Amino acid sequence: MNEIDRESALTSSAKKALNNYAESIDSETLSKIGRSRRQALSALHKPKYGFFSWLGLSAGGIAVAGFALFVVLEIPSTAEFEFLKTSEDVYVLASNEDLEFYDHLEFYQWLEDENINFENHS
Amino acid sequence: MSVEKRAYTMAKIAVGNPEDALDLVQDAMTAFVTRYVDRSEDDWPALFFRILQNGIRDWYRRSRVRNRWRVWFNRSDDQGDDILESIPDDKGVDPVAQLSNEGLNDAIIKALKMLPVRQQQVFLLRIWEGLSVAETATAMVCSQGSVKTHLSRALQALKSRLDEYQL
Repeated sequence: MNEIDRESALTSSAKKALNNYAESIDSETLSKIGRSRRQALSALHKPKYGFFSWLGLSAGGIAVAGFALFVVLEIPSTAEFEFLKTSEDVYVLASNEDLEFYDHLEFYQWLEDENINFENHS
Repeated sequence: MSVEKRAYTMAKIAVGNPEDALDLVQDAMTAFVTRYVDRSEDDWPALFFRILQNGIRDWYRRSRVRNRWRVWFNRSDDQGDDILESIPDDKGVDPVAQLSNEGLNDAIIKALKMLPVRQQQVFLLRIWEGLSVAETATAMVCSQGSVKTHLSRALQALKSRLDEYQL
């Protein structure tokens, strides 16, 4: 038998031996391997970069909060009146007044616009 | 035969421990799916086995460090095991001779386990898995010349170890 035939016989026998060896894997290990394969494939259907998407959301949240802070801090300097009006509105809405007060809100607003002071009139 | 069965067999021959082999295959499958599934299907075998080979290399690196610590602790501990027990006996019974009464298949697997891990894995990838020289080089992260050298040495070693079987 020449060298090439010998090598061919060796590789052929090695393939057979390896196939037999692989086929003799016990059922418990096979089931573990199968489970790992399924787990690996299920990772395909999960959203990629889960942690980083949360990081992205946080970054987005920080950006929105930053923008809101910018608006709150910058707008009064250019339109102070509107800001104060808005804060008054918030104050009025947040107060625990009777419904009657809200019914007459426009009237009170008119009084303020007309700069009518009851104390001065009385 | 499924690729994960072959991968497990390769890992087990390389590391010798079924649990570690299973861990290596699990990690390789997960890493492959998360990293390379978008790549061309033709590249999959080489890429998958590259991850597995990296895992095997890391395993050897870790076990080397572990063994170094173990030896160090054994040296410092007088009550510890005799360190001479862990040194291979070159003049002892040749393991190949012990194979003479066993079947050819077992003899081949044992001879494969005795090969240096690079030669062993190149042999498995080229001969059993059927990867090309270029694919094997990608998987082993080495040059194509190294693949040919490792394969040639592996064949020589196997031939001499299995000489009695007259392959």
